[in-house]
Amino acid sequence: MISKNLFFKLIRQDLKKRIWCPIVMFIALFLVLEVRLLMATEDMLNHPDAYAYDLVTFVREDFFGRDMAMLSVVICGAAFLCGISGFAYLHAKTQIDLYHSLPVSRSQLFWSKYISGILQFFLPFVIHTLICAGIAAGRNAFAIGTISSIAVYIGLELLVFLLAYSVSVIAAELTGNMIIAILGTGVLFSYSAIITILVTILFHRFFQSYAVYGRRLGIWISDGVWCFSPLSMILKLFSSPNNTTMEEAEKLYKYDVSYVWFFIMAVVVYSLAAYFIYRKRASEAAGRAIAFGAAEPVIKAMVVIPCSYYIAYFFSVISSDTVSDGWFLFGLIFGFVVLCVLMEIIFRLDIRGAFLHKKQFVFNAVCVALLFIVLKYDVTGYDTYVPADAQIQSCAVSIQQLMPLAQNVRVNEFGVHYLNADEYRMANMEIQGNPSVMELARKAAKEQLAFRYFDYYEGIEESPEYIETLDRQENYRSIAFGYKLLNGKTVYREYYIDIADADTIGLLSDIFGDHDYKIGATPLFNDNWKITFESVYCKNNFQEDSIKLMPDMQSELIETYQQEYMQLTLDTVMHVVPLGTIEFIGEFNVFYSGEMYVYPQFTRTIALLREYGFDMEEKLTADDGATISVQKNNYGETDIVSYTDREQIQQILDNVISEEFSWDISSFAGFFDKQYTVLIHFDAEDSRHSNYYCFMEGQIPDFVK
Amino acid sequence: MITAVNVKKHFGEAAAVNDITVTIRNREVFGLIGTNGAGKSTFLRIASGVLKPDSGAILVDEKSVYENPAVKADIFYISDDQYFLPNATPKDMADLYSDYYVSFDRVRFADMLGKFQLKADRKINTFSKGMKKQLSVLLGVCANTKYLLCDETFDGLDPVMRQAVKGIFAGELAERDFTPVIASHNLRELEDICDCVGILHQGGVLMQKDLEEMKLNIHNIQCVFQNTQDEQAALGLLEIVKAERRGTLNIITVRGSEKEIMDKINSFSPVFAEILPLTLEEIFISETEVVGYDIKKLIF
Repeated sequence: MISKNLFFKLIRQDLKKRIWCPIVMFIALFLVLEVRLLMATEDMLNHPDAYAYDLVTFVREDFFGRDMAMLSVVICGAAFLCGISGFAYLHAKTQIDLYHSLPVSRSQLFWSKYISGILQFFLPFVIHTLICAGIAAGRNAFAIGTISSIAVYIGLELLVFLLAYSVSVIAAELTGNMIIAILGTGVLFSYSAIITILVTILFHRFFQSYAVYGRRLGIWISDGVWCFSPLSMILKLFSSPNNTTMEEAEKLYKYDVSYVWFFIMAVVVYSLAAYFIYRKRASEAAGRAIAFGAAEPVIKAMVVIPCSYYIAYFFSVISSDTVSDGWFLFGLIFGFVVLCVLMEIIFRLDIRGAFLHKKQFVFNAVCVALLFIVLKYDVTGYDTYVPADAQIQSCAVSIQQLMPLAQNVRVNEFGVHYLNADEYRMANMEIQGNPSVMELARKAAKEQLAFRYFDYYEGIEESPEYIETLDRQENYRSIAFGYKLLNGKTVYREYYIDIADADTIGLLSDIFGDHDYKIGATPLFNDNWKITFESVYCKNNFQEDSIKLMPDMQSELIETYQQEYMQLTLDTVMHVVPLGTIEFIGEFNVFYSGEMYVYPQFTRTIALLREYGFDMEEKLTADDGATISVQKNNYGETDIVSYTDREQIQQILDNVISEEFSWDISSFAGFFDKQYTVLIHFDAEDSRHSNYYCFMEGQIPDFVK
Repeated sequence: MITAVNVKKHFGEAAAVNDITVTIRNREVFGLIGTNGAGKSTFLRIASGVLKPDSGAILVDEKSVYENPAVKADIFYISDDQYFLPNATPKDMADLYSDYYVSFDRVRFADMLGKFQLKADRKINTFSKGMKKQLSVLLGVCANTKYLLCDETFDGLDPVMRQAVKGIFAGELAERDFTPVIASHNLRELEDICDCVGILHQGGVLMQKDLEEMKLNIHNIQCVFQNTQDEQAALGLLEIVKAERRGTLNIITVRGSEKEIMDKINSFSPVFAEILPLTLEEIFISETEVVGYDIKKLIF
């Protein structure tokens, strides 16, 4: 007969057996919760002016909000400890003999230990969280809204714990040895993240057109990559894709609500997997490296193949020539052999087993070699792939260095969201019905093969091959394509196009003239990014000023500018000197729009700015008392000449353009002559009041030459 | 009753238990004797539900034992290296087992701890090997299960304690439905406690018999014949398990009843013929030698 309360007795027994575990949890959580909260609130109380938010907001939004991501590191550690310690008995024959001989079913044994492990974390966690809430209340930092924050906080951290915990339990079940279980936990915990990074590395190395967008946290997590390991999933939960909407941007430091359900599903799947593996696990597996013999070759292949490529990449990176395949291949072969031997030793727990399983060795070697051939010789045609027109739903194009974009946007009181131009455009641009896009894509893909990369080394500048290639590729410019396919997938490619080619420029002009291109190129024209700007910073060739914006002024100016920008052609960008720039600026002087060019054709914008108090067409004359010095850029030699003659000064002022204007568009606009640098001091008595200029192409006064 | 039918268990390519068929009757002490690696421990681990047999079945009271908590509630398994919880005391272990075995007799356990001079609140990790064995037996007996499976339990017990444990077993057998199964190398210890023995070798059962019956059917004989012809003729009539010759003295182990053997030898008027008692150990060695397990080859 089995007691009705057996399940709870089992939990109690498990708790007694590893009482140290909840004690460790209690101490660790005390340090990362109460102590951290006390430190943070104390600092805020002592220096309230240093923060853009009050204590209540901090507790609700930050401590019980954005800090979840950082706390997850501790939670994962706790999950590992609870998971491994709870199921470590599977690695000891003596313990197996005891527990599996007791009159209790394995299901009961599993779930009791599983739930016991959860409780050993969860109860201390909830207690500490409630104490923190009490501390917050004691410091008048608790509001009604904090309750829901705490509920979400506990729920999400529990999910994180459960996911990491289940994986730790699975690792303990799949192995028969503690060391192997720890290694296995590491592999299972991070496998998809490791593969994601490897794919990025290898594709970058072997495919010139490789590009990935919609990514989260840098290269780590891409929406396009299958995330199945806790590390990837946790990073994905606490991040959001870049540059989609303001709403998304605001989640940067929060969590992805849409991903929570997927996360819950993953927790259920991993928990059930842990249960079924436990049921299938033979008791005699204790002491072996791997509990399931059939899994051994699979695990070996899963570890050896990617790790060999990591080692290959490591050797190529530390070598003097990172582009050549010599050291990469050496690393690949060396890494593969060492890893195969190492895996055999780990599995046998005996060095004499190093060269067993020759068939598996050969199979893995063939896989590694095949993968190398596929990558090296682009067997799949990755670089030349362009989807057929019939497959396309819409396209996004990002022509770098042609149109400025915001650098940062302050999304809320806690942080600034960095905007990447390509990321934004790939997420927001939807060009449809413009045949030039796909024509340029096909042309670019074809010409991509002729593009040559060089790995820098000292003395490369003197290499004739390098010089010749550099000259030939002088007019190559980067362009990114995003193909949204009808099947729901999005394919990205990045190419180098030759803008000296008339056909290419023709196609590019068609794209630049496309309404959808311009609308999707900057968040300034995107209604989703409704941001109130405080001012507009205006610059012309010789002066700059900030104009405070009222809401009606903002909408009027943006609307007027947008209407005129829609008429802008690539030909104008390439051949017409802009009068100046305007930049919309948000709260706390965080730049948003980037410097938008104002061309002479933008008459309504110019008039509006004049109405607001800034004359975009105002020019400097020799009578304004500026002093000018011109430096000839002669390969490191400085040859500076100052001019005082009023006629000469006027001639120079009539033919220079601010260097700042050239930064964004110089790759396309060929009217800058960088042979000379002109320094103009607007105020003879104040050397700080100055700016750098360059001459316009073909307009260098004779007396300067 | 525990019935094993064609039980097989492989660990990798090695056959730990190879087609064992054995029956352990209720209320008798069953001794499981076997060479190293014969499969005694594996058999007990299968019988206690720790391991799942690859094929065949072990039935306890006609029910499968693996993953059957109701059946396992009647079985207490003492492994050769019994596990005790970290920092546990005998009292803690009693608490543990009483959670699983509802008939666990705490009062008796406390009483028996006193008799064996084991302190209830002393940490078990400070116990000697023998004390741990004593504790295991006490826990097993106080669990009041029908079957007590002991793997090498008598190893490490001093003679006094061995007798005490035997006494406890005898008492249990007299008082309730109790069937201890004892696996051991210490054949001398089993000899005076077992009712029935099963001899295992290389995963299979060589024989299973009542101990008395076994002793009655195999004998050690010392004999000297008058000439070689008589000797060859006499030995040819006997079912010899093992034969050794020292000069003219024949030392033979023979199957059959004492009378039958002596009648055959005496019919040749030997110079000298004497029957010697066989210990369980000698029976074990003889039986295993038959199947090629020569103890001498290991020793010399």
